[in-house]
Amino acid sequence: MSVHLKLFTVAVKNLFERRWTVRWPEERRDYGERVRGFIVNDKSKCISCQLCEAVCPAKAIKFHLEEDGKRYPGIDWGRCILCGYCVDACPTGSLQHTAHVEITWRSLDTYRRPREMTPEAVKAERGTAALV
Amino acid sequence: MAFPIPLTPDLIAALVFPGILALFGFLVVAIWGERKLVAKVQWRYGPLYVSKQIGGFLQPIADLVKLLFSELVIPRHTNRFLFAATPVLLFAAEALPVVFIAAAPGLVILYSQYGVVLAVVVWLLVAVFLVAMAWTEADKWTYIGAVREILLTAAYEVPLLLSVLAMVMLYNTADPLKVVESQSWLWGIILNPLAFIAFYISVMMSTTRFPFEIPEAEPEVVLGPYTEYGSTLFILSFGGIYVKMYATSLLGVALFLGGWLPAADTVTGAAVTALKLAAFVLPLILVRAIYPRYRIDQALRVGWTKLLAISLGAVALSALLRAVWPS
Repeated sequence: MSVHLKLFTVAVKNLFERRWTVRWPEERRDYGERVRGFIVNDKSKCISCQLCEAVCPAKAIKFHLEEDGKRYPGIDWGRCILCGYCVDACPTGSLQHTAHVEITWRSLDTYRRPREMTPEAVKAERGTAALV
Repeated sequence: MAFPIPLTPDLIAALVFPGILALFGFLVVAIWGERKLVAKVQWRYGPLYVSKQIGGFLQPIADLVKLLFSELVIPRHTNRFLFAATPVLLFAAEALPVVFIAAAPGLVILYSQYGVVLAVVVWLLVAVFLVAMAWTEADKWTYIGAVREILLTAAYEVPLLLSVLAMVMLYNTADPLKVVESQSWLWGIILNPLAFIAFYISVMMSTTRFPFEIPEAEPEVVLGPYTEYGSTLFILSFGGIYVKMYATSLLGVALFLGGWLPAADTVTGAAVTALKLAAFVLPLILVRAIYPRYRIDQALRVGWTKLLAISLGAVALSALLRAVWPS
C-alpha cells in the first residue's frame, strides 16, 4: 500500500513540473549563437579559390559565373550536412555559418544561388525562441 | 409550443443528469481530462491544436466528428448484422447501471427498492456483450481480447459483489435513495474502508484502467475486442469504456462518498454529486500515467487472493458494525 501511495505522490509531484515540449514552429529551440547552422557566402570577401567545392564531402557546392565575371559558390542546402569543412577550408572567411539549423522548404528546390545567399534568407519565419 | 410529454422528474433524470446529456458530457470531459492530466504528469502539453485558448478542450469533440464522418467498414466474412448491432448493444448495456442509481433526491430514472443490486448485476452482465462483440468480429486479436476480458471479469466480479454486499449489509437496504440517506452522519468510505478499496480496484479492473489494462493492451493485441471497428461503431464500442466508468463511478459515489449529501434539494444535490463524481474519477484517469501493465496471471492473482481477502474482510467488518450499532 505504501508503494502505491509513493507512486501517486510522484505523479502528483510531476503534475507541477514545467513542460519540456517545444511547440514548434510557434516556439523554436535556442541553440545559442555559435551553432553550425546553414552556411552563407559573403561575396565581398570571396576570392573564388574553389577550395570549398573541393573539400565538400556531400558535393553540395557548385560554382557559378556571376555578373561581375567571378565565380561564386552556390550551396544546395538539401545536400549540405552542416559539417563546416568548407568554412574551415575557406582562406578568407567568406563562408560563414548562420545561427539557423531549422528551415522548412515550400518546394523541393533547396538550391541557393550565390545571389540568393544572404543571412536574411534563412531567418525563421515565425516563432519565438524557447529556452529549453 | 408546449412540450408534448409531461416533464416528470424521472424524465429529466433520464435526459439530463444522470442520463444522456451528462453521459455524453462525461465522455468528452473524461477523454480530454485523461489526455491532459497524463500529459501534464509526463511534462508535455496534451491536445492543444484544436482550441488553444481553452486548452484543447474541443479536441475530443473534433475527434468524434472526424470519426462520425469516416468510412464505416463492415467486413464481408462476418455476420454483418451482428457486427453492426453489438457495439450499440454494448454501449446501451454499459449505460444501463445509471438507470437504477439516484443522483439527487428525486433524480432517479427507474426507482426500485433493489436499485443498487440491480445496477451491479447489469454492470456484470456487460462482459457478455463484450465477448459477443469480440466473437462477431471474427478476428485473431478480438478473440484474444475477449478471452482476456473473461479472465479479468472472473478476477473482479466476486470481490465487487462482496464489497457491494458489505455496504448493503451495513445500510440494511439496497434502495438507492435510502443508501445515501443512511450515510448522513458518516460516509461509507469511513465506515468501511476495506469495502471501498475492494470496490475501487474492482472498478479499475472493470473499466480496464491501467494496471489492469489487459484486454486492450496495445502492444500485444491491437485494441483487444474493439480492433475491427471504425467510425461510429468505434465511438460506440470504445466510448463504452468511459460510459462504464461513468456508471460505476456514480454507483461508487452513491455507496461510499455519501451521494448528494450534505445538500438536500435536487439542484444543489446534483451539483454535489457531480463534484464527488469528478473526485472519484480523477485517480482513475491519473492512474494511466503511473502504473505499468500487469501480466494476466498477476491480475488474476491479485483478484483471487488479496482483493478477495479484502472484500471478505469488508463483509466481516460490516457484520461487526451491524452487531455493535444495530441502527
